[in-house]
Amino acid sequence: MDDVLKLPETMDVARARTLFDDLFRRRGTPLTIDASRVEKASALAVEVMVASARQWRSDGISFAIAPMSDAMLETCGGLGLDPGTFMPAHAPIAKEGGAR
Amino acid sequence: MSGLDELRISFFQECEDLLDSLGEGLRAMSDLAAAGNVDDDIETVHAVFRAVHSIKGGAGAFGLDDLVTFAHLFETVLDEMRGGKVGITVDAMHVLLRAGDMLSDLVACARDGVTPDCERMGQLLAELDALVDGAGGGIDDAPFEFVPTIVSVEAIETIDIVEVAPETGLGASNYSIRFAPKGELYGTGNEPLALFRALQQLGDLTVQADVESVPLLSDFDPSEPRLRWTLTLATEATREEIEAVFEFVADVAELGIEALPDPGKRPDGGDTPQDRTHADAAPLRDKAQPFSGDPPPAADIDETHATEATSEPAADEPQAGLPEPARSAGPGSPSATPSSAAAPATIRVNLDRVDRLINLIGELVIMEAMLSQAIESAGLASDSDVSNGLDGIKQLASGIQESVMAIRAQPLKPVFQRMHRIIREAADATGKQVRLVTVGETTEVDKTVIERLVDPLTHMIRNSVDHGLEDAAGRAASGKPETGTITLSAAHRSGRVIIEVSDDGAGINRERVRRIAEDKGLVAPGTALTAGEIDNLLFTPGFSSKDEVSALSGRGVGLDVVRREIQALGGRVTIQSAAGEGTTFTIALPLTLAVLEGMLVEFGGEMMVLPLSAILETLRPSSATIHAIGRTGRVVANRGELIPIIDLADAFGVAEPGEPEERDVLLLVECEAGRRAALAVDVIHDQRQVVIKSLEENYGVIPGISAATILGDGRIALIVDPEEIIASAGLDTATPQLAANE
Amino acid sequence: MSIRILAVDDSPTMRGLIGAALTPSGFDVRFAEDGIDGLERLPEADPDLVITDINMPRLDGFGVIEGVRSDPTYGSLPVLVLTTESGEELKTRARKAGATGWIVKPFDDARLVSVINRVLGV
Repeated sequence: MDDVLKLPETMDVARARTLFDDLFRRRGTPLTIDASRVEKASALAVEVMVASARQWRSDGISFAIAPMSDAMLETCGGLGLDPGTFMPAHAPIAKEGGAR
Repeated sequence: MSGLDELRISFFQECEDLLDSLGEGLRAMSDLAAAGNVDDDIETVHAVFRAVHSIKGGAGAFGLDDLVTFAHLFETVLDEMRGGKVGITVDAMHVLLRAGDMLSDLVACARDGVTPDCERMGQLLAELDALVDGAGGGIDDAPFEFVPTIVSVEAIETIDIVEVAPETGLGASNYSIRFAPKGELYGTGNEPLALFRALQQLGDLTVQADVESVPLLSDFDPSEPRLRWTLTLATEATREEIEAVFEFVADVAELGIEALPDPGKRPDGGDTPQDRTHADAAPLRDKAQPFSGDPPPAADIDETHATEATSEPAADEPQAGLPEPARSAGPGSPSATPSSAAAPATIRVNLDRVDRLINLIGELVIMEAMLSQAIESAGLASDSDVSNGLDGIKQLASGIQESVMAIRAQPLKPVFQRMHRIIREAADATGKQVRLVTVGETTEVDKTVIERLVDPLTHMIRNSVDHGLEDAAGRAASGKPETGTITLSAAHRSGRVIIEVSDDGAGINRERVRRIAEDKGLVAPGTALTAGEIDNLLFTPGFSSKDEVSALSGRGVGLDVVRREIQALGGRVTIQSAAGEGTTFTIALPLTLAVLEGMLVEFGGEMMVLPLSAILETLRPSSATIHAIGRTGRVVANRGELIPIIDLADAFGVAEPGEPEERDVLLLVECEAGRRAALAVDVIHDQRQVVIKSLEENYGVIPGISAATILGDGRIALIVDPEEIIASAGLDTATPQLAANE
Repeated sequence: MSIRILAVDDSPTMRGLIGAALTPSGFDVRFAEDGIDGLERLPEADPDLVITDINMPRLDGFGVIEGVRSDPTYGSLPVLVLTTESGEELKTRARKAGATGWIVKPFDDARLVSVINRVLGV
């Protein structure tokens, strides 16, 4: 089973930096980020996830951000990010996360 | 609007406090400047700066332009001082002290809607300006044109600036906005998403994220974010309004705003559309757009506009703020939860409410006495539970009374603080060098007493500067420092407040005082007078003379008025003087006007209270000193004076028929005009503090009676007004001098 | 749930004006009397945004910003500086300390509300 990283409610700038460290350590292993609890996310945290999605995709390892809270989905949308853009094609978004 | 009126009132109350600390700070700076060690206390300069700054801030909010103008330059000087650019010299402090006075006047003018003294203000502005210029600092708005404005209540209303509707009629334009946050942006609490939402308020927004510019995680540095955006905004808003959105991020992001020629066409619109399967996840009305595979390089960003976005007008011009939509996007509804302000440390209470409480305590004392009586009649033992309970209630009641008195009590500090200015002005007017030392500022006195102390103290201080202190030459001749000292002190002493005004001058020239009094017919020539009696002549009406009028005492107020004012407060003023050492005026005041120190007396079966402040002495004269005058009149000879006797039982019509003996306990009282009388009573019981209960409110004015009180046993005792008793006894003529009569 | 604002200002008048400007728009405004008080009240006020004066006793507005930024919980809060000074130097200092933005006194109510909404993205 994939490693699951569960994100806290607040993904502010400080948490974005620790998220970077957390993800950096997990490079090379299949990973699922559980963003179902996120209430607030800084664009910097989102950017860290973008960089990770690109990394995992480039490494050809499975990477998913699922499920996603509505707040997280709204943040991605507001920042002009299709959740697919930091998701590898072979790791579709869990339907329950995208349901609105 | 009433909310703002309240704020305006509270602003002026705040100003009082700020002006107090301003005055205090300026004096401290002045002392340090004189001592030559200003660097010791830079915190004082900061505090003074803050006081002026806060006044300016509030004044700006209420459109008090004079105040803002003056406070601004004042503050500039202080800022230069704390920055070390303007020296804190004795001369500079002289200007600042007077500027402090001016600021105080401007506050008062703004509060009362009075036009300030423009000439003086212009003069001080020039002096302040000179301080700054002298330092070579120079300020941009150097020549001050002072235009007086009359402040009115309407000025407050201008606070509600009408929102300017966004420009219309220009039709929608399309803008392409390139936005690339720098690492610093995320350390300032700004968020790109918030900015985008603000842009959305202006029109139709499309957000494109450039994901390709974000490196792989292995090359990623969280302190150097690379995610950037291209935004397309179809809006009727002006470029300035768009720039205003980026007001706070211009220095922490790269920004380019470009008007697109064709409103109908979006940039990059036809480029490589990508998978939009999940676009429905985007909550914004604009779906997430595919990002271009070929991001615009940073060099493309229009630096000119980036700079413009920081420009002042956009930042500070209210009209340039966001238009209507931004406001209507306010959170919640107007009926949302009211603010829960932090609990303040103090509350302001209407004095009426406190007085009502004091009255109720009076009632409580009565009830308590009645209960006590009932317990006794019921024959309950004094150590019964009921009696013990009553004792507890008594103690609580007296505790409550004390607490209520404490509510009305306030420190004397504000009054003392005001005297610094009086000293300054008096010193300037007389050309004398004076410093004021205050002691015991924290001493608390009833609020009403404090307010009514200002005038008498002002006059006493002026008198001390004018008549008490010698001029510099005179002081030098007697080996004293050239600067005279006036000490204003306050202390609690045996249930009263003692305030002293003392100078280190030459003392009272008794020969001269006697001569003046004789010349004016206030005292018969050759009368044997003790030193104290001569000193007291200063308080005699008509003593202060025209030929003594100086720049200060030209106000036509004599010390007799001071004494009258103090007596009206239930207080007394006395004088002590030592040749060559100085003069001290001592004021003894009751702690509160709600309590009176009185002598409980009995006559004709009635208990009444005489205010202690009116009583000079009590006598039980031998019959030899009492002389009959006319058919019913009597006088008593006392210290060289024949003093008319007024029988209080007769005066109030309570004399019991068939009373053979003349009452022979006399209370010597003096009224404001200096007339004396001896009030005859049967017995003097004791001296006590009584709670004053007004009769006028519920009953009406009774001649000779000022109020009533409730005694410990629940009985009502009337409080005698000696002034009226003397007046109604028809003793109009001045007390005859024994020397003149014999 | 209404947006909570912590307003830090040593002047009761300014606190009153801020309250009068924001409360009608549905903001829940809490107050602190100086910088130290402001930082101490952070947890209890749990604000969405802080407005702070610059010139205050004990701890000035720069100190408030730095205090907020170094707080593990509130480090990312928007902090608006409220000041009568409009000089660039002050803005630079405030920015260096981590200020989100600035509002120049005297402010008008609508602008204060719109700036807050903008910074919060609501």
